[in-house]
Amino acid sequence: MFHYHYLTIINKAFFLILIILLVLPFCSSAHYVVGIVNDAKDGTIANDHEVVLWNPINGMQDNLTDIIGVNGNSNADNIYMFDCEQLLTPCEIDDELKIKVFDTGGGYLSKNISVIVTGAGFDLANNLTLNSPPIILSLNVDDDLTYPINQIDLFAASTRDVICEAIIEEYDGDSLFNVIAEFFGETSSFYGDSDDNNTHYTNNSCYVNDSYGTENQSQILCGFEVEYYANSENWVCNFTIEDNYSVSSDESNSTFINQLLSIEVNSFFDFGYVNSQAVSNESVMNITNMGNTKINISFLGYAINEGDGFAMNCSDDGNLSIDLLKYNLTASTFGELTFGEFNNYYLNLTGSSAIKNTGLNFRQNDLLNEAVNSTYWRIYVPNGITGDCQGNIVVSATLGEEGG
Amino acid sequence: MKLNFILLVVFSLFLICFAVISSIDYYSIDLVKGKNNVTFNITNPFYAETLVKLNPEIEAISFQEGEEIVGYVNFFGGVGENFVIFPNKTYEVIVKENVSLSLPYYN
Repeated sequence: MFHYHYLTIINKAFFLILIILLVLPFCSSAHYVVGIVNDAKDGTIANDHEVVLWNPINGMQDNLTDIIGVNGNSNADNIYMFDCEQLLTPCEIDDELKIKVFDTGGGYLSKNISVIVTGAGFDLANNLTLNSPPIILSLNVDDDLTYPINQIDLFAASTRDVICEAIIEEYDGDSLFNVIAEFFGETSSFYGDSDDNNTHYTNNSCYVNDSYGTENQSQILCGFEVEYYANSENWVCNFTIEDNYSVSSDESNSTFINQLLSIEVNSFFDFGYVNSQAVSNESVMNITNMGNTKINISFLGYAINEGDGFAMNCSDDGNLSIDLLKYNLTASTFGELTFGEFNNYYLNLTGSSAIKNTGLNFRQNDLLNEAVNSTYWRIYVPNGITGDCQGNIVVSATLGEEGG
Repeated sequence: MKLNFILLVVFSLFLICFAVISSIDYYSIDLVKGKNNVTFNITNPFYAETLVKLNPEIEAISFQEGEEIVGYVNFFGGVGENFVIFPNKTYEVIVKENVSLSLPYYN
């Protein structure tokens, strides 16, 4: 009985070992998928780029990767090699597997191809070719003026056309997509910032000239209507483009927007009828900063000729002295004034230019021009002056404190 | 007791058959189209590339090394790891038609 029991155990163990020995060799089964990856047309070699294989039925998370060339499974230039039975769900005959070169950062990848698993020793996939990302051969940014080069001179109270011109080489002849250029102040803005006429412009509808250059070259023109109040600083044109594999290339170049000193004022204002020995009603002169720098304002007045010492010349041959025309740079005073109040609240106009530190900033609001300084004017008519009087006020602007 | 005896006889017969089949591989190394598990009865190891060049009917040859399968494929002059074939080790050899393997002359 004792021997019988041990014999049974020995037999069972023997049987188990036999089964393991029979099955073990089949565990090492392999089915290879090999293929060739051609170098990119821009000359980049396919070796050392990575290839991925997956069965779409099982999802891409169950995949195998290999390195093309001598550092990969194949040990041969431009060739990859997979054992598809190493997938978590091993491949079977008639499975349709997908293969592609995936982008590891340089923008070099390929389209997907399919290979059917057969009963042969290995399956050969169709050749792949490494995609060439679009190459930006050159990028220039300048305005529509021929001089000065590489500087932007803004146009007072209007816009200046600035063009970012890119020359593209697309070796695969792929269509170009998502052509975007951003033009922005280097210190006041950044790539991807929202548009603001002071600091940032975007153009995503650039003109593509396919007839430019060689068969695979294109000229791309991205225009910007840059407002007169764009910041004076170094500006960057950043240009991005994608091919039909969504591989993007980008380039940037810079230029400088010069300072623009410019103002706009009322062409005239009228005090109306003023009684003798009375102070006129207040007239307002609006001075608008039409440049891109802070400004100070200066005034001088004359009747007929500059330096004549009069504010106005009247039709009865009399003149109004220069100091009878006065202004206030900041505050309006309503109502009728006595001569004393007139002298207290207002500054004398002078016959020579007197710079006032107004520090009028340039426009910051894209919707409303807030860069306006209202100045308030009154005149006193002394006894004996009659008729229509007329004079000149010269308004000048100089760079303000932060305007350099 | 009787059942055990029968089992023992059956297993012994199976073992004999297995030894006979294996001995065929050892000496003649006739392979059938498709996958074959082969143990080479050789005195000197040789490279997989050498075997594939001698036998162009071979499509792929591989073996398991730990968790990894190491393979050599007869494509484009031979791709994969050109491993050394040792005696008394089992390899999977895939051939595209029935073939009697030629071995390097020194074996």
